[in-house]
Amino acid sequence: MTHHFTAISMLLRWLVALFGVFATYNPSGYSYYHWVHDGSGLVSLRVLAGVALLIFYVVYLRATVRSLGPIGIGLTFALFGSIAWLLTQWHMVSLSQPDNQSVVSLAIAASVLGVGMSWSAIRYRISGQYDSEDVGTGPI
Amino acid sequence: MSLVPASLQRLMFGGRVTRRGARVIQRVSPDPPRLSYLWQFIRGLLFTQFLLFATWNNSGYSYVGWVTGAAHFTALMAVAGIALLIAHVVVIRIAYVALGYAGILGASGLLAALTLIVWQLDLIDLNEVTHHVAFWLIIVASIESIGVSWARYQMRLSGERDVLKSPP
Repeated sequence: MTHHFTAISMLLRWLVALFGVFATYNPSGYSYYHWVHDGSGLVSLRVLAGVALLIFYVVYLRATVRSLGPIGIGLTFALFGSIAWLLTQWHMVSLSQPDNQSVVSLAIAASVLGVGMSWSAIRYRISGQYDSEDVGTGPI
Repeated sequence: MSLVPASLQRLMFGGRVTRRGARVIQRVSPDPPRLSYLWQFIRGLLFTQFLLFATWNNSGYSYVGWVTGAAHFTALMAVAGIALLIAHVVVIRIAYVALGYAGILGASGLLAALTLIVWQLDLIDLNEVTHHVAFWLIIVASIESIGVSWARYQMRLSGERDVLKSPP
């Protein structure tokens, strides 16, 4: 995996993270959270979607915590938080409505997950150092 | 003997599968061409020099000069500052993991010897040069750039790989 990691690979991981986080909750009313609250549709389908989202979170959070660590997660949050601040200062995003606030915070969280998923591969490309989790797929 | 046809196995597991169903193990990563190591070293050197001089240099055109000279702190300064901080943390951690204390000492010794040679050839005045902060920035950036590419040289030279545990 780490041997063919490109910008597209990172973009895909980031898009999947955005999809997962916004599928769980978003203020438009069409999300897993609203679906469960409405109680419409098949129960089994809701359970399936819930388990799929749970698996998504376990995979992404584990990879993020392992590859970035507490310091890296803090720095990544600070970076995306300051980018959000920059966008509000340039009037590209308005944080006055509560809906926008939640969308921006969810996007920041999803971006941290996306970076966390890609980070060990990026570091391998920069430095040639493996994360201990990559060793199984590395050269023999 | 395998119940799954070879074409399907290839699709599932990748790699080459013989007609009898045995999977041919391929080398995942062949050694990169030799010139790419030189390019990687130059890339690391340029990046670490840029990083240190972008953070501070005495011409005034640097991040520190920008922030101290501005009337108030803007969001763009925050983004640039955090990006620089992240780059410093990444580079220092990579170099520390790759070199260790012994490697940092060795790299410093090598650079000191090079400086002495240049001084003995009368190309620089050691007394004057060491008073410039830029000289020390170049030395630190060079040690960092050796650290950034060291893991690859080690892999090529001895086959040993740097494997990291969870940070920090």
